[in-house]
Amino acid sequence: MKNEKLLQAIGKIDDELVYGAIEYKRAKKKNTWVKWAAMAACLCLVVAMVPAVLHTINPQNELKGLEISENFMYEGVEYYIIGDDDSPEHYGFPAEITGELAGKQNAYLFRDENNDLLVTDEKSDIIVFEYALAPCTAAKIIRYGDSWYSAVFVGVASSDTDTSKQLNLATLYQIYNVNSYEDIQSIRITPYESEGLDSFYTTEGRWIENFYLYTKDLISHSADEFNLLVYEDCETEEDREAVDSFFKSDFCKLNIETNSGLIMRLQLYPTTGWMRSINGHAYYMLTDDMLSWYNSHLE
Amino acid sequence: MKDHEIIDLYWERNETAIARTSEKYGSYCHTISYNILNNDEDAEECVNDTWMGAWKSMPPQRPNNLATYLGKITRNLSLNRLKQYVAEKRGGSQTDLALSELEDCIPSSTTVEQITEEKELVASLNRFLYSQPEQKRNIFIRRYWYLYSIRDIAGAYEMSESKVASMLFRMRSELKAHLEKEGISL
Repeated sequence: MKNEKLLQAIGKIDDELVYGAIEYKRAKKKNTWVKWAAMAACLCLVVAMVPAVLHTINPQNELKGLEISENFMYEGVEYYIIGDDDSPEHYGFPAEITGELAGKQNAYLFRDENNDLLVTDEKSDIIVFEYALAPCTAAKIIRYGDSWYSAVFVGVASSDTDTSKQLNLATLYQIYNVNSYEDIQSIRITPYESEGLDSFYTTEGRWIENFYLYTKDLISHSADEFNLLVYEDCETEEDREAVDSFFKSDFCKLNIETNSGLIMRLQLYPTTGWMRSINGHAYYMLTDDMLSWYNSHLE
Repeated sequence: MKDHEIIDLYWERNETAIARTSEKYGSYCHTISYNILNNDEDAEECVNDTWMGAWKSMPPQRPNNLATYLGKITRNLSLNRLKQYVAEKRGGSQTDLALSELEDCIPSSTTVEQITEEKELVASLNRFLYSQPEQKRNIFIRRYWYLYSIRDIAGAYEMSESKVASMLFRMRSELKAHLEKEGISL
């Protein structure tokens, strides 16, 4: 039926339109300070106290902590603040984040009416610091009220909506302040479905030197390009499912630990010949050199 | 939890991916399915099937927008299920009403009876929607993508139901004219 066809086609309109129509936002945290400020304001009026009292009500005093991880942008880089629902160790920070880890102060943040965190010139209780143990673009320390958090880079802003295009591996290394193989402490590869694959961990210079050499010039591909390439030869749904299951069995975690302890989290698909950066969502097609590096560690 | 982190859990074949997805998007997908099926139990099953679909498709899929990615799976599953019910004469959902409304948008047959490919139709719909003012566009999408009832839409926009209904009526006429102008034939 023609109207059914239309209903089906409407189901395929742009994501942006669909999302825009009903923009999904996490429920706003209750801004209890607003209520208290309003009550205090009323009280002031009723008892005719000096309006100056209002200045002592600092909205940020109500900040308790970040239950849920969230993101913010600073100098064209998107950061993910590791909230109480995640673990800083996964990214190479100490398990407990304290003020001692804060280096040079970078910026203040505030919450706008949409509950998003934005950079501001005015002083606030949410402050971005360099990570004292590894001052670089990849890692920041955040003071949120009286609590301390770590934040890690998750992407770079771009005029192009597809940010991953800019995240060549050389850029990624720079973000982590890795300027030569000597800045890498270790490489760990852990297969997920380990049948036929061994896990691999090395701190040896010769392995690391070659790894760095074979990866530093890799060019990034976007998720769309990656999907196009991996499904290129698929004609049927079964073909696509076969590719899916092959990728699943090929999947390894690849953690590159820098000398300062930060962990660059990547994913490696050694048989299919792909690598992916979790931060920045960029995909890299592996070169023959890199593949033989991987294969030689198995020997 | 951020979407990219949830997607990473799928890619890591970590089964908590489903729990996290359900926490964040369970009610979103349930609403879509309920609007179509008008039944909580059926909607719940479709939402669970959505998680299965997500688990099977990621990797290698890495959606740019997880909400609409899941929403589309739910919408398709729910519309398919509705087809079965229509055959069994169970109905009464927003979909029947929306379908009858969409009759208004069907372009008159052209002399060249060439059926338009779905891809062209979708592109034409995108053009039409992008050309609309934001509020009208969103109301149209809420009605015909999300299958919200006119009452729900009126509530969300603090408008009267008759205002929403007449706005949609005008948009359907505009869409019909737009499709005809673009030479679309269904």
